[in-house]
Amino acid sequence: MVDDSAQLYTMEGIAAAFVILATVYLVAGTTSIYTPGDSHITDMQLEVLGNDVLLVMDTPVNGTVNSTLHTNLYEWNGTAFGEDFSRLLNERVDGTSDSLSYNATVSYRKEADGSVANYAFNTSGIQTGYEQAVRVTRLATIPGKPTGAPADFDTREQVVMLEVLIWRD
Amino acid sequence: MARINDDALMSIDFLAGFTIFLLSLIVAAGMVPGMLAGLQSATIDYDGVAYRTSVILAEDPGWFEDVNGGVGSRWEIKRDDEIQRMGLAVSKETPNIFSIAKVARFFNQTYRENPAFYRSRVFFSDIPYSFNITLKGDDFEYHLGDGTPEGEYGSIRRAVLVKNASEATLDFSNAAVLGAYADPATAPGATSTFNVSLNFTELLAPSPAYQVDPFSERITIRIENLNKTFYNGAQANLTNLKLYWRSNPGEPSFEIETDSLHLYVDGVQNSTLLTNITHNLTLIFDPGFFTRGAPDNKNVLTIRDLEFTFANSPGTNTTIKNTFNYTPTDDKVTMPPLKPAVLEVAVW
Repeated sequence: MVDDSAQLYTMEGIAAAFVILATVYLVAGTTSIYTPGDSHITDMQLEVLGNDVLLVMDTPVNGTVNSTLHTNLYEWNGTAFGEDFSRLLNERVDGTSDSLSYNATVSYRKEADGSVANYAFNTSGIQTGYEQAVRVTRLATIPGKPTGAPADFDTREQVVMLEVLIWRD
Repeated sequence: MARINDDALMSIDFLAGFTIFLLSLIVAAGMVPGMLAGLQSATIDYDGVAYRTSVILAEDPGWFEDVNGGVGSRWEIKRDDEIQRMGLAVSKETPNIFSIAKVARFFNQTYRENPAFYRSRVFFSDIPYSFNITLKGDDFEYHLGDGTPEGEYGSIRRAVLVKNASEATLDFSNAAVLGAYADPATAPGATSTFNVSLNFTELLAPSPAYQVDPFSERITIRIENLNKTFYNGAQANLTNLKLYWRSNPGEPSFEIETDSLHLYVDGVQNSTLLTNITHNLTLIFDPGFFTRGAPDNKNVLTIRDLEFTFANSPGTNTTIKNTFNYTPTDDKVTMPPLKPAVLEVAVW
């Protein structure tokens, strides 16, 4: 041992070790690491709820009537659809309302060339394009061209796809 | 003996320092699992449990295994220890459509003191989760569990439909009902009998979401304004109520014990059948009634008749007669529409 330069003495060493240990423990304990893979849980919750709402709307309330969703589509009534969808989507058990927004689009077959066109059925607000949205869909059989549907809507019976984007404001 | 030099000697300082270092290492190594536990996000775990629980409740009809080896989904009419899993759906083909009988049994407040009962039949976890399950519709609300905590908890919301039980109302102030099921112009014999017939094959034929399920749903029969059927009388005397298995003629009928049903005479709950009725009679058969007292082949689909016997005397009589078919196509039987509701499951 030539001299004492750059030497750590025992007591200081113990103190330093405890400081480092305490710091590491605190840092590790207070940080929650939110990995990109975990965001699927909030997405999944929205998807489950969205699918539930479409299922509820697509279930006739008794054995003799059509479902609300079928009626809304066949009457091409986006406003009525929006009211029902928004109420079921945002209703909470404590009586308050959630802040979920949606944008519903219907894909239908065009009369002229059989290609598929989209129609903006109903939306709860203006989208900025930055929404973290999930997509739920439902197919419905429409017996003919609904009154009020776009002019190029196929007049034959067809299956249309209702696609709803849901996001949290 | 004098030392030549210090080589290969261990100082006391080094020994103390190394001992403390080793101790610290052991302590630090012991902290590692705890540190990792702090890293995993509890909320995400709880969200997963809440989702799993909501799926069992909303999309599964449940399961029971009884002492005779019978299995099935009508757990709401079974004893507590026979219930394996408590799902609320009407059937596995109809997710998100709840049976009101299952809902009533699940949210039964007497179970509230026993969260372990729910943990082993809905949560399926060794971890003793606390929970709050709420079902709310326009005109009903059910709660189970504790209030949600201030801190973090996992939750999920589901949109569902609730299927309610049917009921039949025979109002004798209605001329059509009076003409079909009574004859007040003619003096009755010593007894009058009236039947309510339930064709189980027919009732169970439609989709589970829209059928009348007499095995697991409440059946209500209201006889109103019975005084219109009296022949110069002021009251009627119900003396006997029997259940017949019509499609198996050899099989005995049995008398219905009054403690197995709710009997309301003129709006007042009555404990005996030997009773005088002036206006209204209501019989409510709870879920499970039609499986009770049945022979071994109890779930055979068949016709069951409820036979009402009235004793007649001057002043106390009724001219009620014929057989009323309890079928949803009859306008006297009402099937309530499916009602939308919100189910919220919170776990922490």
